[in-house]
Amino acid sequence: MSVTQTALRPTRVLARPWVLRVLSILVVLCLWEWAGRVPVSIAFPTFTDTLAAFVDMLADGTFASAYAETLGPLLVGVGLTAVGGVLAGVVMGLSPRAQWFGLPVFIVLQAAPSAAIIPLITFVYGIGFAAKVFAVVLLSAPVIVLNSYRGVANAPRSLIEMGDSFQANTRQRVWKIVIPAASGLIFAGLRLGLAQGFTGAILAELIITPTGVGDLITYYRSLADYPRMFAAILSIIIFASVSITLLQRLELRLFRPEMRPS
Amino acid sequence: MKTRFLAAVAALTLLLAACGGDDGGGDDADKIRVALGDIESVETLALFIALERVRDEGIDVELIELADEDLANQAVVGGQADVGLGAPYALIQGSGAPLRIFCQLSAARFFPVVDKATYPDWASLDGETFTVHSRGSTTEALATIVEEEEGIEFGDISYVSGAEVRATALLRGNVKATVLDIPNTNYVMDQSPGTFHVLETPELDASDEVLFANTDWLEANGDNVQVLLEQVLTVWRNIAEDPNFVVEERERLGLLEDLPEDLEAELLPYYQQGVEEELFTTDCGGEEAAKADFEFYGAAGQLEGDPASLKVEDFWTLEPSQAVLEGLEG
Repeated sequence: MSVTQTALRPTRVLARPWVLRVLSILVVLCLWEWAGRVPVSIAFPTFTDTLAAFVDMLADGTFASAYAETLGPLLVGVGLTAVGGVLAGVVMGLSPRAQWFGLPVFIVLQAAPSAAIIPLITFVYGIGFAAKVFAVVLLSAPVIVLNSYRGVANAPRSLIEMGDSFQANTRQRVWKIVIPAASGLIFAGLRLGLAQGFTGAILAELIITPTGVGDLITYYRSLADYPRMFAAILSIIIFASVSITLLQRLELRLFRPEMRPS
Repeated sequence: MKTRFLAAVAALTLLLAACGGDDGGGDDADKIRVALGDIESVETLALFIALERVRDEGIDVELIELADEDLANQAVVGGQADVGLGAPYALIQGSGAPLRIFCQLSAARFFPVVDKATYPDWASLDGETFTVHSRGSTTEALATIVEEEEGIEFGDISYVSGAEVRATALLRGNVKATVLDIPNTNYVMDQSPGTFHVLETPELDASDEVLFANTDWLEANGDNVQVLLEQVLTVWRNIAEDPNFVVEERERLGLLEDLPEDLEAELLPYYQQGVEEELFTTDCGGEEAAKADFEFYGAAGQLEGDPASLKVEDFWTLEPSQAVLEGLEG
């Protein structure tokens, strides 16, 4: 009897991580619903209206066709940056000269206001697919390169010295010690790079040419169909959250088995 | 306990901040806040002249410049601005916002500029890509009307925002056929003479830009609305009589003083061509303009329902312009 009572105590229930996570989401959704009902603005729909629009757009294929357009430049851009960015970061981590030459560019790029730079892309890459890919690269490259660099540069000295004592050559030292040691940070960079790349793809669609998910936002805004406009924004949040969470799980599975929940 | 109290205060502050809408400036009786979803340019100069003349009448005019027309619309809906410019039909119908249009400023004048060698006429564009501003835009409506009138069907409608971006894309060869406004059509023709030509444009009576405001504000600020309309119509009529009026007034009032030389050279030709094309509406358009807009914006997908069944009074208020017109003509 006493065991059951203890298990049902509200403080115990609230101490469970998933309860708090669900509660925090519910609080935000309740505030959203309330703000829509007030309404804080005529352009601010309720959560229930947005959810209904979301389901409609999912059912009528609006999201499928929009995301098919948005994912093209995103995947190509992140793919190119994943290969080139990791390579650049590793080279900079291994060679001080490459670090002095390349690092400042990426630090500046990371600090630069990307929304201001994206319109300039059209001067070089025009208004098509290439411009959008470049926007993705522009946003995702700094975090991928810098994480790879930091991973390599901060590889445990003791492991490298151990390799030296076993007379490992440069290739063996890099492939068997440095890269595996840096892999966690490299993968974290790829995860964050995907998030940044997604931001780049949406910004390009909002600023350069209205296509894909960016087009859904501008189109429904121009029609004053605010539930659908907010549903498009909600879809971006859900898509980004789900893809980042999946990548995080993959990262934990591959590189940090000690942090996996038992 | 103290922490809980502080948390409650913080939550209340956030809540109040979230509820914030009106900035409290809407009660100023002798002030008109105009939301402009455009950059200051040769095209907006005529409006600036009219607003400056309103100031001369003792009414303070605050110009709120925003990144695009939709934001300007939102500013009017949210009460941060009193008067907006644009074509807010979808906003009025879609959101039920208490807005009414009270004067047409300019009629829609678009120019289909295409590669001369590739597309000598509309028939050659059958099945080909045609570039417009965005989905549901007036330029897309023009494409739809062209398809109906010419009996063709574009293969693909491509979207590129901004007439200046489409003009650059045309000159770079990224785009072969698109719709431009007067300044960008002239720019393309000047930059690459003989490469492009303008195809015959369907007859359009629809609005490009109208003045609109919140119904409460219109009722409470009748006198200010009268002065605003008097000055707009006076400036518009003077331009129609002599486009050089803009150049003279710009000098007199010291407007757009930092206009680059090349743009300054475009000033008079733009207004001359505008008058020739009947761009400037000198009588606020009225019921006729409203009905033409129902047809056009219906074709653009911005208005739902049969255009014939839409009521003018649901979108326009005609009294302010009628009163001013009587005064000006009487």
